[in-house]
Amino acid sequence: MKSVSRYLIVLLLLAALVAGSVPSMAQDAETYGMVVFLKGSEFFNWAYAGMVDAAARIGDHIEVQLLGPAEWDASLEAREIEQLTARGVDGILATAGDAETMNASIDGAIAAGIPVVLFDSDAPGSDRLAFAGTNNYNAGCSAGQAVAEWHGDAARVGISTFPGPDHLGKRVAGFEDCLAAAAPGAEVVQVVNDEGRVDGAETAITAMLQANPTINVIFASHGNPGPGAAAAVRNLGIVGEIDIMAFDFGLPVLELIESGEIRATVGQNPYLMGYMGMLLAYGARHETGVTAGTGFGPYASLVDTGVQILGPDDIDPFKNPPTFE
Amino acid sequence: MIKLPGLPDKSKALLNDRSVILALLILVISIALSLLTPAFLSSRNLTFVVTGMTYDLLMALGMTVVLLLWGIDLSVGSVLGLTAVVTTMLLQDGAAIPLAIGLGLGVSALCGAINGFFVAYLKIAPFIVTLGMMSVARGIATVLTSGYFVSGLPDAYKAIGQGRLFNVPYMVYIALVAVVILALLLRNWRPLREAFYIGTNPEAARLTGIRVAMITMGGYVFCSLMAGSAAIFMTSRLSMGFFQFGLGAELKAIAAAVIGGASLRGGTGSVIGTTLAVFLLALINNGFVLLRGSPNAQNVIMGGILVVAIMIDAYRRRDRDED
Amino acid sequence: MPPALEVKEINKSFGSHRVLHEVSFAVEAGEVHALVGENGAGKSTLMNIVGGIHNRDAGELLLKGQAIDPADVWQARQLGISVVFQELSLTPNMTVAQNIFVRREPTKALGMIDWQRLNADARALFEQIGVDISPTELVGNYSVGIQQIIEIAKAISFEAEVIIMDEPTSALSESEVDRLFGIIADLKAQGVAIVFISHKLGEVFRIADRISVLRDGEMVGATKPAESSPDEIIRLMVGRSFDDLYPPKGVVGDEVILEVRELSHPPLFHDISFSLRKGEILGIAGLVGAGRTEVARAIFGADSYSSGSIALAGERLDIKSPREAIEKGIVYLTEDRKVMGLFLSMTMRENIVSAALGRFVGALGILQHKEIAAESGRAMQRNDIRPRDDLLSVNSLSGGNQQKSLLAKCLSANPKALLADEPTRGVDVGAKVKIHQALRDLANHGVGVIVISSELPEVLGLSDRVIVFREGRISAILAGDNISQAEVMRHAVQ
Repeated sequence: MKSVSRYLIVLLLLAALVAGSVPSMAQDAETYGMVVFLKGSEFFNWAYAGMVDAAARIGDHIEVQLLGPAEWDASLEAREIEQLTARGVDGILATAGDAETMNASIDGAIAAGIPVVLFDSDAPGSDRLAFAGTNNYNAGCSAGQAVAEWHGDAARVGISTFPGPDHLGKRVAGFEDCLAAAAPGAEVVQVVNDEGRVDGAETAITAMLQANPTINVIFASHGNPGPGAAAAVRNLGIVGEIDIMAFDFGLPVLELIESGEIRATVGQNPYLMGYMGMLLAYGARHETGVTAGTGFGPYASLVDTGVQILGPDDIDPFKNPPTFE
Repeated sequence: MIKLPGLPDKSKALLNDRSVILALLILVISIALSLLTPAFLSSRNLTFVVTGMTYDLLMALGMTVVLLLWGIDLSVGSVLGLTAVVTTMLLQDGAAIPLAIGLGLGVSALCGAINGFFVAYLKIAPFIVTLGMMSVARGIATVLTSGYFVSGLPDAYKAIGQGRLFNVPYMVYIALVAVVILALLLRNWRPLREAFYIGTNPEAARLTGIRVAMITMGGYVFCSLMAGSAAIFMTSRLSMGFFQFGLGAELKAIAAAVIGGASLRGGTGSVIGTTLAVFLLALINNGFVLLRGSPNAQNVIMGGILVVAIMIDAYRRRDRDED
Repeated sequence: MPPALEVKEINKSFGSHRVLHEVSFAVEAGEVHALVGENGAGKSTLMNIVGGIHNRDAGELLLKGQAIDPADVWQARQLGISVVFQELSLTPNMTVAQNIFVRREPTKALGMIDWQRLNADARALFEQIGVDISPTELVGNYSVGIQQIIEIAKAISFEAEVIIMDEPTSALSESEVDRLFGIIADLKAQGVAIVFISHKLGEVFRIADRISVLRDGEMVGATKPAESSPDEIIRLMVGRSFDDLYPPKGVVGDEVILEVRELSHPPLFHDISFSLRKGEILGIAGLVGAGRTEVARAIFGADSYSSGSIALAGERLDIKSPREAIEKGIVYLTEDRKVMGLFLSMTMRENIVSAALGRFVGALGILQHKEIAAESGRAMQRNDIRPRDDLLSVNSLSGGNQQKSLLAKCLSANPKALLADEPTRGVDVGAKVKIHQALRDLANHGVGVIVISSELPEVLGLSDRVIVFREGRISAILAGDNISQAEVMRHAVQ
C-alpha cells in the first residue's frame, strides 16, 4: 500500500512538471495581471480595455488577465497580488481599494522582482514602481478653466464636496486656483458638505441655491453630487439657469447631460490608465543596458493620464463601456 | 425619581419631557435662523428640509423600535442600499412596478427576519448580528451592480419620489402618515406596548408571558422594512439605484433615535421625540448651509451633538439603574 | 469602664425627611447588641453614620469614651469600627486574599506586593475563625453566603473592636448561619463588640445579649431576650402582635387544582409528586438549593423538565413557556423581584397589568386604556400599595410596596394556581402581614396557593400542609398536628 502511494506521488510530480513546462516552451510568452476592486465595473473595464490594447500593441506573446473581487475589499486584492507573485507573473497593474491595506503584498511582489504599477488609486506608502492616474489638482483645474470659458468674470460658483478625502481637496483647490487665474472676477460663493451622497447633495445644494440666488454654476467634486445638483435645480424650478459641472461619467450623469440638465462632466481617462500602466510595467520588466543604473528608465514614476471635459457631443462613446468575461 | 412615558393618561399626553425640550430647541433655532437669513423662513426651504429628511426619518423610526427592544440595528444603511439595487435592477429588466417594489421590500424584510432570528431565537448579540448583515447586504449590493449606477427607471416609478401634491412631495405625506400611525401604535398597540416591557427587562417579560422572541423578531423586520421603504423613495426621487445608497445611515438613525429619547439600554423610545430629533438635525444642517458654515465645522458639530446625546443617555441610564 | 461604642442623641435628616431623632445606643465589649426595626426605621442610616458613610446632623459618637468623628469607611476602620454591609463590597474578579487586604497589602522592597505573605495572612485569618476558604480563589467563584463570610473576615482583619453586621444572614443558608453564629461567639469571647442588625427575630433571640428597637427614627425600647419575647419586640416594632402576622387558616376543599406526578429533571429534582387543592395554601420548606424553585419554574414552563406530568383541574398540560402557563391559569411569583419580576423603570400601572394585557385588547390588538387604569386602580386598592399613584415608577417604591406590586401583577392574571416563591423576601413586617393576608384571601376564593419560603415560621404560620424538600426530593408531606418547626427541620436536613 505504502509503495503504491509512493509511486502515485512520483507520477503526480512528473505530471505537474510536464504541465508546468508547457508555457515555458513558448520562450517569449509573458503574463501580466490587472488587479482591481469592484471587478466588472465600467470604470475598470475601460482600464482593462486599455491594458488589452497596449498588450496587443507590444505583441502576441503578451497575455493579460483581469482579477480581483467584485466587492470593494482591498484585502481580497492583496490576496490576488500574493497569488500572482507566487505564480511568478511578469508584471502587475493594480488599483488600491484603500491606500494602506495592499502595501505588504505590493512590496512582496517588488521584492520578488515583479514590477508593480498602480493606476487610478495609488498606494503611496508601498514600493510600487509607478503610478498612472488622474492628477486631481489638474483635473479640478481643467474644470475651473472650462467654467471660466462659460461665464468669464460673471461666474458665481457653488461647490459640492465632503471633508476628508485628500483627492477631493486637491480637485477643489485646482478648480479655485485656475478659475481665479482665468477669470479674476469670478467667485466661488460657497462650498457645501454633501456627505458623499447623492441625496445629501440634493438637500445641501437646494439650500445653498436658495441662500445664494447669484450662483450660476455648480461644481461637483466627485461622482455623486452631479445628479444631486440636477435634482436640486429641478426642485427649485430653475432648470437651465444653472450650469452644472459634474465629475466622472456614471450612467445617470450621461443621461442628465443628454437631457441638458448637466452641462458637462470632468471625464477621467481609465483607458489611458490601463494603456500607460501596461507600457510602464513592460518597460520596467525589460530594462535596457543603456538606462541601467542611470536613474532613467523606460518607465516614469508618475503619469498624469489627464481629463477631458465632456459635453453633450462627446458622450456617445461612453454609453457602451466594454465588457469582459 | 425619573419620569418615563407610562401608559398615557391626561397628565402625560403624547409629549414627554424630551419632546418638549426638542420642540423648544427647534423653535429657538428657527427663530435664530429666520433672523439671520431671509432664505430660511420660506415654505419652499422648509419643504425641502422636510423632503431631505424623509429617508433619515423612516430609518430613525425603525431604529426607535429596535432600540426600544434593547437591540440595535447597524445594518439599516446597507439594507437600504441592497433594496435600492434590487428594486431598480428589477425595474431596469422590465419588471412591473408593484412587483419590483414588492420584491425589493421582500428582500429588506428578509434581511430583518435574518437579523431578528439570530438575535431573538439564537440569542446572539444584536451588535454582532447586524454588523454582519451590514457587511453582507452591502457586499451583495456591490456585487450585483459591480459599482454601476442603475438608471433608466420608468417615469411612473419616478413619480413616487418626484410627484407632488400642493408643491410638497408625496413621500413627505407618506412619512407623516407613518409617524402618526406609529405614534398611535406605540401608545396603544399591544405588541408595541409589550416591546417596552421586553426592552426594560427581557427575562421578566418572558416570565410575564410576553412573546419576547416573536416581538423582537418583528421589531427587526419592521426596522429593515423602514430602511427598504426609504430605498424606494430615494431611488424614485433620484431616478437611480446605487450600491452606496444609505452609507453611514445607521449612525444618523441611531443618533436621531437617542436624541429623541430612546436609550441604548432599551425600554424607552418615542416616535414624536425621534421625529423632532430628525427635524432638529435637518434644521441644523440647513442652517449651516444657509449661513455658509464650513463643511468641516458641520461634521464636528454633528459629531458633538451625537456625543452629547449619548452622554445624556448614559447619565439617565445610571440614574435609572441606581435604584 | 465606658462602653466600646456609644452613640448619643443622634439626629439626621435627608432634606425635609427626618430619618433619626435623638437616637442613643451603646454596645459593650464582648456583647452582641441586636438592632431591630422595620425597613425604613433608620437602622441602616444609624450604622452608616457610625461607619463614616453619612454625616450626622447632631449628636456624639464615643469609642471607649473618646469622641470620634470618622470621615469615611476607611477612617472608621482604622479607628476600630468595621461595617459588614448588606450589599457586598467585594470585587468578584479579584482573589479572596486581595479583597481582604485591598489597600494594605504587605509589601517587599520597592513596594512590590508580597503575595506569599498576603495569602498566608488570609489563610491564618480563616483558620482563626474556623472556615475553609481558599485565599487564592476568585471571590466571584464563591456563593453569596461564603462571600458574606469573607466580608466578615475582612472586618475582623482590621482588628476591629466594634463590628457592625447589617442583615448578615439574608443570603445565607441555615448551615451557613450556624457557622456565622459560631464566629460571632468566638469574637464575643475575644471581647469584640458586635452590633447585629436583622429582620429575623428568631436569629436575634438566638444570638443577642441585648435588643434595641427603632421605629420611625426613634429608639422605642431596649431589652434583654430573657426578659422579652418575639411578640413583644414585634409590638414595639410595629405596634402589632405576633399572632396577627398570620391570618387564620381556611377551609380546604377536596377538589384538586394542580396535580404533579413524578416530575424529574436530574440532577435538580427527582420524582416530585404532590397535589394542590382548591382553597389550600401548600407550603414548601427546605434548605436553599433543595430544588424548590427549580420545581416551581418547571411547572410554570420557565425551565424544562425531563419526565413526569402536570395536570390542572384534571386536564393534563404540556406547557412549554410561561405564556402558556399563564393562559392556563398557573402563575409564578418569582423569588427575585428586581431581576426577574418587575419592570423597575416602568410605572406601577404598567407592572400590575403586564401579565394580563390580553384581557384588555380590543380589535386589532389595540389596548383599552380605561379598563387598564380601572384594573390597576382596583389592584392598588386591594393590595394596599402606597403611594396610591399608579403612574409612579416602581423603583421609587419601598421594598414592601414593590413586593405587593409583584403580587398584584400575578393576581391580575387571574391565577387558578399561584406558585409564590419567597413572597415576603426582604420586606418589612407591615408588608409581610398584608401579603400573608392577600395569599389567604386568594385561597379563600378558591385558588390553590403554593408558598415556597426559607423562613420556617412563615411556612408554618401560613400553610395548610407543608411539603419538605431535601436534595431535590420530597422528604415529607406534613399536615395538621405534624407541622412543627422541629419536624420540618428534621426532614429538611436528614
